Amino acid sequence: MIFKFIGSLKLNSGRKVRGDTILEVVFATAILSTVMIATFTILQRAIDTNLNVKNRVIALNIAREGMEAVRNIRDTNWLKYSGDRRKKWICLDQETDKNACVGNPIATKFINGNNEAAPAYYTVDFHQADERFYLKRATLQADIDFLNGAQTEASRAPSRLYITPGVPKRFTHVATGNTPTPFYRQVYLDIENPYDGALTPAVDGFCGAGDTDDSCQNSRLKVIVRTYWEEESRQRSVTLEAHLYDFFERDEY
Amino acid sequence: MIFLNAMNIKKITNRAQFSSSKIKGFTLLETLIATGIASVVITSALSIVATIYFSQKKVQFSHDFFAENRFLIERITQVARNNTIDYDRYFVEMGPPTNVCNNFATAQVPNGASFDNTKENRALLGYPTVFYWDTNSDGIQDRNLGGMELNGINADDCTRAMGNTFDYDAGGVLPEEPIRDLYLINAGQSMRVQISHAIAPELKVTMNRQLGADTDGDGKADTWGPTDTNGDGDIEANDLDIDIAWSGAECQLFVNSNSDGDFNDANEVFPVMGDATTESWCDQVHLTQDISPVALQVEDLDFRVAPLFDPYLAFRNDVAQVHPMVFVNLNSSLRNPDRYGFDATNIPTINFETAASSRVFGNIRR
Repeated sequence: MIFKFIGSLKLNSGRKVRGDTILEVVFATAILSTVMIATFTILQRAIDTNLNVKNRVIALNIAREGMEAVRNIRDTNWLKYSGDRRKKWICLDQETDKNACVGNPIATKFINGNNEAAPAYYTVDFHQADERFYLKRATLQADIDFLNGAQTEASRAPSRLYITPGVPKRFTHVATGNTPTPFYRQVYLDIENPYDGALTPAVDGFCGAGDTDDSCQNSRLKVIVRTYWEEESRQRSVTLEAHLYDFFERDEY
Repeated sequence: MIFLNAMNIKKITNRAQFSSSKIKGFTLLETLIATGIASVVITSALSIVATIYFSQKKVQFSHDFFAENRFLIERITQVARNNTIDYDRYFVEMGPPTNVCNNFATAQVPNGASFDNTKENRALLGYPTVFYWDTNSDGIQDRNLGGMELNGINADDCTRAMGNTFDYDAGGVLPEEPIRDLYLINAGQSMRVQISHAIAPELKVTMNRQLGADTDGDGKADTWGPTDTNGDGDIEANDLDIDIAWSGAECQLFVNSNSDGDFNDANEVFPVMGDATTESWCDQVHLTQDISPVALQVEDLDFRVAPLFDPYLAFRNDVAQVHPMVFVNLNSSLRNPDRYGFDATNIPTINFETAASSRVFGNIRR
């Protein structure tokens, strides 16, 4: 049957019927491949977009949690140090030193017991036993970069988020016993004075004229929370930025 | 004219006959092969188009699904931000776990017969009561221990309003009492909100708003526990009860201003805002509303509340000195997935977690 078929083809070609030129074949192939490539590109784009939308939503919620954590630390300081709010509103108790802000930390710097100056990068994590967030100072990359081989995974590791087992799941920076996720989160803090030095330190009795604490002089905290992830060999990030004020029971701010 | 046309047709017919003698037609085999190839090409092209169409639809539905979830979690966090944790209600509904607080100390509660840690007793006592201690045995309870035990050194576990939720630091074990209901109260102490995960008849999220809360079932809204109105250092009948109810066509607010236990006196009944015949305010404040979009099947909704104590009552307890906040964990899937082209093994699900810190500052028990 097949031989017959081939024979019939031979018979036809033998009868002076002109075949396609190489140019025609090339054109046809080019058109076909263009259509195919376009089709698959659209298909791939749709799949990528779906993944991107999903990751973006997760990353945004991770960033929001970070922003909410910084806000909660400020609010907790207002509550915990209610007698010394103007000085302690931006003080950071540490997981390793839970009462770093108790007493009268020396002036000039505000961030934590180490007198570290802002601006600085932090990680933030919820500590279940203490039922509160702690901002942790660590050597972090200023901007996480997955591409170009500029950064090692080890240098990014402190910012990486892991997911806990069990239900409900929770994001944490603790690696032990948890599953790694593609997400990295960093918190950037900077303290500012919205009045550019014009604010008198003698605000509502908490800070005196001689108080040069940054937290007395400045009433605004700039917070940038950024979530990074790598997706299909592409660098992605979501950024939230907010200004938190020391407004609670403050006469001027 | 007709003749001319007939001539033309004849000419064309002749020409066709003439040309047919020189040009060969397609054989049946050629036609079959050509049709076969064409049908393969058309089928594959159509299937590609169909795949693109349905995958685009899936992306769109997935996007809508995310948006619906975001809406729900936004709705919950918005309510959590505008209110603060209702510790009184948590204390009655959940209370401290019995393994850390089996019963309330005699010196802690006034004139009670039984102080076992049961829901009935907790409702009877009220949350602020357990912060009272008769420190000098004069029969009068005072509150200066601020959440500590009688020795003033150890934190008093009986002042916990609820159990631990999940102990992640112990390796994710100890799911003691997952919090399925979020109880909130506004800064003016006039409205309580309950957000719950409803199981039946369908998986959804409901929100219930109440003016006050009736935990003891006396038909009147409860107050903030005992208040020493006459200043004799003793706890007597509550000094304020409120209620809101239909009275005929009018929705009315009842306030027990003179503490005689009824609403029959002057200045105790007020019409509630709005026109009762057109605005269902009375219904609204008592009705439970669904807040989850219909497209969502809410598989799980858990809350983690911090701190477990009211920080303003437990003011000497360091652990409790945290600004009230709540973690919301939402796990949902798409309802009727087949309608959107997803088969039963590939139903879109999503797990959201976010934190909401209350925007109510300071002690609301003024």
